[in-house]
Amino acid sequence: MPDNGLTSRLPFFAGQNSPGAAAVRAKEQDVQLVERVANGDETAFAEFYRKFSPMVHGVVLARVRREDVDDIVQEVFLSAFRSIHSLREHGAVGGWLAMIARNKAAEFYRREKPSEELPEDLPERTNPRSEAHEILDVLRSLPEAYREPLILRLVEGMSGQEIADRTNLTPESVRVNLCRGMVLLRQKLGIEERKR
Amino acid sequence: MNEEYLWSKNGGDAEIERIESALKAFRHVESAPPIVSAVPANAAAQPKARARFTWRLALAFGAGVAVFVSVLGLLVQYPEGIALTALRSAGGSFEIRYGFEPAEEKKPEQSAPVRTHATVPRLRFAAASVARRPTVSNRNPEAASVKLTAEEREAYEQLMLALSITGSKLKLVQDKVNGSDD
Repeated sequence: MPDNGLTSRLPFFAGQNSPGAAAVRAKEQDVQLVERVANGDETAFAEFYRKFSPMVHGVVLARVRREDVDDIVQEVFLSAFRSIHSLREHGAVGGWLAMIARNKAAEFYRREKPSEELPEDLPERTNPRSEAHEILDVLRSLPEAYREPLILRLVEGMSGQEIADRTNLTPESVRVNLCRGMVLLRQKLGIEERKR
Repeated sequence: MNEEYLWSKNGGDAEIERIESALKAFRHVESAPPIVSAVPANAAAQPKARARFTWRLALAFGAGVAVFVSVLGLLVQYPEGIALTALRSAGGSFEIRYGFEPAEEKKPEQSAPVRTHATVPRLRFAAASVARRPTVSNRNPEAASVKLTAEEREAYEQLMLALSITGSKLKLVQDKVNGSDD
């Protein structure tokens, strides 16, 4: 259905364009996509990867060093492809994928070999992205409930509704966690103090 | 803080936008999906079932080998005669005697009732007294021609039957193992 001004003004079509109806449609699309992937359709898998990889990337980035994130994302999708037939509720694929991503990130830390820390007297890096690293470190130090939605919003550039759709969380909880997390992030970055 | 911008990206908030632009460097770069053509979509269930089957087969094979070796060992150690006896009643308790003893060394008084402290019937293992274990050095050629009693003969035949059954089962397991490897 083409989305033009006329359809949205008509009562019948207006209901179809509401956020709730959009969420239902998105869920139906997810169900069809998962069924195709489960049948071994590689094109569907590519589409599945394109749709969910930013979310998985964000979830993993909230826990793991940036250099290791891409490998873990690939692992998550391979693992999902192998076990997608065990997914009972196809509409809940986003939450299921997020759970696999969290488990893989935890597993990564379990199997990671111990490494030596760098000496403290190394010259300070003058990297233009050091502020970004600092912000990311602060983001990672936030409670888990705030960390994931904030990274998906600020790093991956997803809107609140998209985060809710991809992770199968309710929009209300995503909104609350985004706002509370943002307040905490600003406090930790000292933004409130700077304004004063 | 503009909460509406945080939720829907409508409107604007200078501070959030600054953070966003700084963190953009970490954003996911679209890449090719992992190659899955070699992996069947429901591959996970198949190796599990196969592993379970192989595990059971190995267990059965191991158990068969253990039985075979132990019986073979006993036969080698006691070639003169075998006396598998007996569940005897002994004043309210039961005594199971087992072991291998040469026919000529059996002492009938050893099977006398044994008093125990138990007042209720119970099972007790007691190794049969073997006065002298025949070794390779003291085996004589006459030992092979020792006459067996009817009871001993029956036990011997039963043991041979058990051995032949074990052998055939082992063969079956071996065939299955060889077949599954192909």
